[in-house]
Amino acid sequence: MARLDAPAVVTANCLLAGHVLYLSETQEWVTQLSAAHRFDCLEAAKVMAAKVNDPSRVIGVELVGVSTSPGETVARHYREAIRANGPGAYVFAPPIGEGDVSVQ
Amino acid sequence: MYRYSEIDRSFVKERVCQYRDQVSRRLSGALTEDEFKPLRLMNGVYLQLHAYMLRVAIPYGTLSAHQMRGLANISERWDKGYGHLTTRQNIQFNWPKLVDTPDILNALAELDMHAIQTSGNTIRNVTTDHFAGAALDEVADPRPYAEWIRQWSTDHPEFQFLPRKFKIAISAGRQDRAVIKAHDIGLRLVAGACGPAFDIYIGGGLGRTPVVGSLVFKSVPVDRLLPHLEGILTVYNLAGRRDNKYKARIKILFQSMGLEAFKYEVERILPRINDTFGDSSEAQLESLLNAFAIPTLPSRDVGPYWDAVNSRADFKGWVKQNVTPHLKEGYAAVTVSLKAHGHAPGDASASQMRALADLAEQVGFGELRVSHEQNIVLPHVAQSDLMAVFDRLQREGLATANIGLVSDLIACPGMDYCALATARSIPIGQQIALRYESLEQELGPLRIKISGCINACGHHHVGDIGILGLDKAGVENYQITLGGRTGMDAAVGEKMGPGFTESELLLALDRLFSAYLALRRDSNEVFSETVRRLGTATFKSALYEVADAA
Amino acid sequence: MSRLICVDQDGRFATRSAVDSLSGTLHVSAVAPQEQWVELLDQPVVRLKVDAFSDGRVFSIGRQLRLNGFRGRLEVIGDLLPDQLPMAVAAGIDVVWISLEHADRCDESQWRQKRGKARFGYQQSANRPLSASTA
Repeated sequence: MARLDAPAVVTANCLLAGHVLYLSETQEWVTQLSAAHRFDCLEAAKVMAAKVNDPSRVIGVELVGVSTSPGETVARHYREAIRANGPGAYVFAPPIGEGDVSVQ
Repeated sequence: MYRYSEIDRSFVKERVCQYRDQVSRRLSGALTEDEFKPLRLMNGVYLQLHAYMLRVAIPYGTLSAHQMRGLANISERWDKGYGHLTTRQNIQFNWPKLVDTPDILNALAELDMHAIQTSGNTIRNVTTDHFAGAALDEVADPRPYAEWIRQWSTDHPEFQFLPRKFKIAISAGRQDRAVIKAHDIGLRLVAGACGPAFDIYIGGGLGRTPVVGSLVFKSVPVDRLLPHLEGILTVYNLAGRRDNKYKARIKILFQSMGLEAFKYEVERILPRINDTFGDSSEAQLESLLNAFAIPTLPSRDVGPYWDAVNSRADFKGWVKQNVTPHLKEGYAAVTVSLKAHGHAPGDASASQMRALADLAEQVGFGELRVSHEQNIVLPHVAQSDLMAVFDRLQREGLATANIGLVSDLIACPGMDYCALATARSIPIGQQIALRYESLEQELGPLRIKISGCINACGHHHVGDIGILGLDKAGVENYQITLGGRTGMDAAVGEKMGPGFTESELLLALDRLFSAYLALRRDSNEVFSETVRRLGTATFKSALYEVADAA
Repeated sequence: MSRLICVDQDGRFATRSAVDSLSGTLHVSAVAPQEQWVELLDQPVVRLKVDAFSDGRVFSIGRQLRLNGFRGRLEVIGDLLPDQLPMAVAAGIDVVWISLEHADRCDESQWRQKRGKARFGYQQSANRPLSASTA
């Protein structure tokens, strides 16, 4: 896994249902990455992650890096983009030569 | 087909109760997550990227029409209306809630099914030839033995907390269709001096350290099979490494001890173990041999079949690609492709599952198989019924005539679902299938196998072309191996060189296929043969041609 | 000094004891090789320590000891799960010593319940050797 840099968000999976969760600014678990609180300080994020790690509600609490650009919070690593958007939802630019199968 | 006895039924019911209790103790805090995890895993429940995943066992890949319909119902009631067939003859549901899993397991128990030991450091679902009982080249049907082993290994009190997972496969044909040499134990059913016997291969496996299994015990008589398995598992349980999970599989122990020393350790404890297997286990086998008798297949007029073959090109093409000869004249085994171009390999929707159940009931003697190549097999179909089967499959989007071709590729779930994955597999498979759709007949038989991480669930090591997805500094990177083989001359493919990005990968495959078409002797020389004849170096330079020129 | 609770084959909590008073405890890794456990066959008591419940070696050691004629008392020290009690019994283990903290979470009723139902499995017919308490 890539080195973790700020900004970061706190994420986990829901114990009962398994779905992906993010910690909001009001310290509630929400399902949208866009609603997650961005921590600019990794230390503060770690402290918060430890605080909200309630094994009766969530599982696998961890920090993930997000983009630094203003506006919507976007995952920095493709794994997190897939976690945030679901299977099949993560699509790259079409490959060079798409539609031009130059075999033969 | 095997039918559950009252013992089987009460056992799976009891097991559901135990699991329900474990879930409630997890929720009450009596069990920590670390304690609960191995317990849920040995009941098939994983936590993946987006959700829990339930892996349901389809022992030796055999399924009744009724069970298939039940799986369709489960997928709609508790999941998203589809299931994913795996390379180990299981079916996975990708979206169950933990709190629903006891009810799902209960619904499975009602179908005489379970998810026991489909995960965890246990003896997993025993896999075998998907054509078992129908294959022309088999010594005997391997499934009674697979069921015998299933019963022996299920909830075995000594082997629920092994150093690591443990996979067993059995093959009974001249051709090995169960990849036995890539298993912790591979069993080959052979004709011994006094009836059926087993050659026992140990220490195969893919993953991080791919190894081809070695023949350790030759021609073991049937009544000594379970004691041998128990002896091997005991040596492994006692001496297998527990300090490093990447070195915990039996292949590592077997390599470090060496064949002779390992065999000696097993033989030392074998006499005592032999004593504990009495007549009852042989009586048990006797009844299993009867349970798997293949259905009576009445003779049918094959005239209409030949008329259809000669009059419909699409049907003829499908028969050529997807239909396999059967040991009974006038019958065939049908492989239903779950690899429609552009679809997720191995996924089946609830309506497709129901259509397959209908077909099995109408023309397939109620029986279905799941192949390790992630397709469905109707093992016994009269040739005169094939046309009707084809028409129904066409309506369901299941008539893709591509078995053994490029688009019939294996792909693990990859990072679209799997928490361990380092890259996506399914979208790579989809793109490859679409890109070479019009070319695949010309390319001929070719096995592409894609894994989304080094654990190799997509069996990339043994593909003609293996593709391994890795994370290279935050970008998906795909390594190619060539020259892998399954079967009795199984071989681990050779890693070609630096990996490719997703878009480079397709261009590299373009060059690889061009090279093959230019270099093959004629159209009868299949890809693997050309690679074998010319060596991988030739193809390596084709793969990297442009990169080198740049 | 940590104290332990003894769980018997029926899941009953019995004696409390200080760890130090359990003499002659062997770590499971020291016993697992075949040359080692054969040395124990004529001992009156064998005490095996496991670091984690997931270390399944004790089940095979117990089984092999019993198969090879060990008639003594076999004790395991470590925080096994109540769910493992039937496996321990099948392997010929007489008692399991667990920590007080573990016994708090995995209380006696859970252990009793696991034992309340007889172990049900496909290996019942396999002529399993008896433990000291039932031999």
